[in-house]
Amino acid sequence: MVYDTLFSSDHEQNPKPQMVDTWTVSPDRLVYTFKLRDGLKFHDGTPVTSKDVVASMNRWGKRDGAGKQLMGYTKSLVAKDGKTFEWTLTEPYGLLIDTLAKTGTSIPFVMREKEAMVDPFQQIQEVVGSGPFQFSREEWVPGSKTVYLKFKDYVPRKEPASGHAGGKVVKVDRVEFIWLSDPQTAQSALVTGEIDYLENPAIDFLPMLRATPGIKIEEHPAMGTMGFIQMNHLHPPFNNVKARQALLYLLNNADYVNTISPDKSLQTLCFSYFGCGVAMETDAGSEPYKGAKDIAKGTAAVQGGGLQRRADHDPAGHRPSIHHAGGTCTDAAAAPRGLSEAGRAIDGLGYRRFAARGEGAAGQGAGTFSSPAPPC
Amino acid sequence: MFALRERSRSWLVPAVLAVAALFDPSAAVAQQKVLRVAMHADVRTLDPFWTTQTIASIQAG
Repeated sequence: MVYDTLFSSDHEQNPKPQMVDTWTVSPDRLVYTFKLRDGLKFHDGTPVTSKDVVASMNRWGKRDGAGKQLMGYTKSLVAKDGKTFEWTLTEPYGLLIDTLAKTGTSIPFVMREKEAMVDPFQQIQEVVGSGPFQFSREEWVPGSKTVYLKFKDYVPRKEPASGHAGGKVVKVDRVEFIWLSDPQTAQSALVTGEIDYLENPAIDFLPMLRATPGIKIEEHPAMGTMGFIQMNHLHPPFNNVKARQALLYLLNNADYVNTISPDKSLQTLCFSYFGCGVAMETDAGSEPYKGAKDIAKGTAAVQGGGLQRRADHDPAGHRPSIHHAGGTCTDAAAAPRGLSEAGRAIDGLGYRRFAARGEGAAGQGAGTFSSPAPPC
Repeated sequence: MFALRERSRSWLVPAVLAVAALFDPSAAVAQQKVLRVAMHADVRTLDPFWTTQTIASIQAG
């Protein structure tokens, strides 16, 4: 919406230039020279320069994991002229372009140098990007509505839109993000025409939405959404290898997908850490997770590990419903065997918060599903 | 996954509103093509580097 990026990913996850026009790579693969395309302008009317880019990448590279990795290979990043900047590496790093094209948080957006110079551990106060929409601060009501206005000076790329790449051709004057925390209310708003688009409709409501004339349901991303269980091996109970082994015996992938989405047409059993239906799909090393549950072995591992029950509890706030279903599923399997409160339904931010507090438990990743009655 | 209305009511504005807009600023807004969306979360943080909230990246990008 507000900011633009140097590169982005098309619908097949291939990196494509966005703000960048052309680039060259030196024969030793250490020096990347980029040139910005014509017509890039911030919402305050000033042109986007390579100084803005350098400052933005430096700020992003201090916070984002992939950015830190890239900066670890960076010898220098300098503006050569108004539209040209040079990225020199200490050794060849084949993921440079892919990293700049990443579409998951935190995305390497280009800000004005003024904001990009702000301490990356402090929030910026002004939102001035060079993307196709301007943030309308005077209309922003946290907890209710966020408004974006078409930026008339935005020059889209010539290529057709594909995934996050290609020409961002704006066909509306204004976009309003309406915050509706209750899924039923959001669904009703779509049906009655109060809103035009609903992200993450609850699974329970899909049959009703499918039967409503004028409503179209699409899957995005096309390969679906993947959930993860991450055991925090630094803190109890999963700092004990017996607890980690026990959890693997007690859980079963199919239980989760049945809980999250009883609709079989939406289910996919996937045993690839990198996701399924993608170039890096592999189920190597996943054999321990593919078998049926072995409650006896799981219980024995808990008892043999001398594990203690945990009494603390994370009060649930608002979270995507897959988290609730997945966390409930983990707890249903683990708690009766002594791994109480093992399954905390959290998103990535929550996981890091728990980790920072030195707390254990298994976090369950992002998704889009819901089920009120977990069968697991 | 998302669901959307295939034809937005906001885009079908009676011509009479165009006349009304000459006298009423709010009617001018009503003439605009507006896309109203309900996202998975509220936008509370605007700095996409400071936070890892997905909604912050969506509104930023």
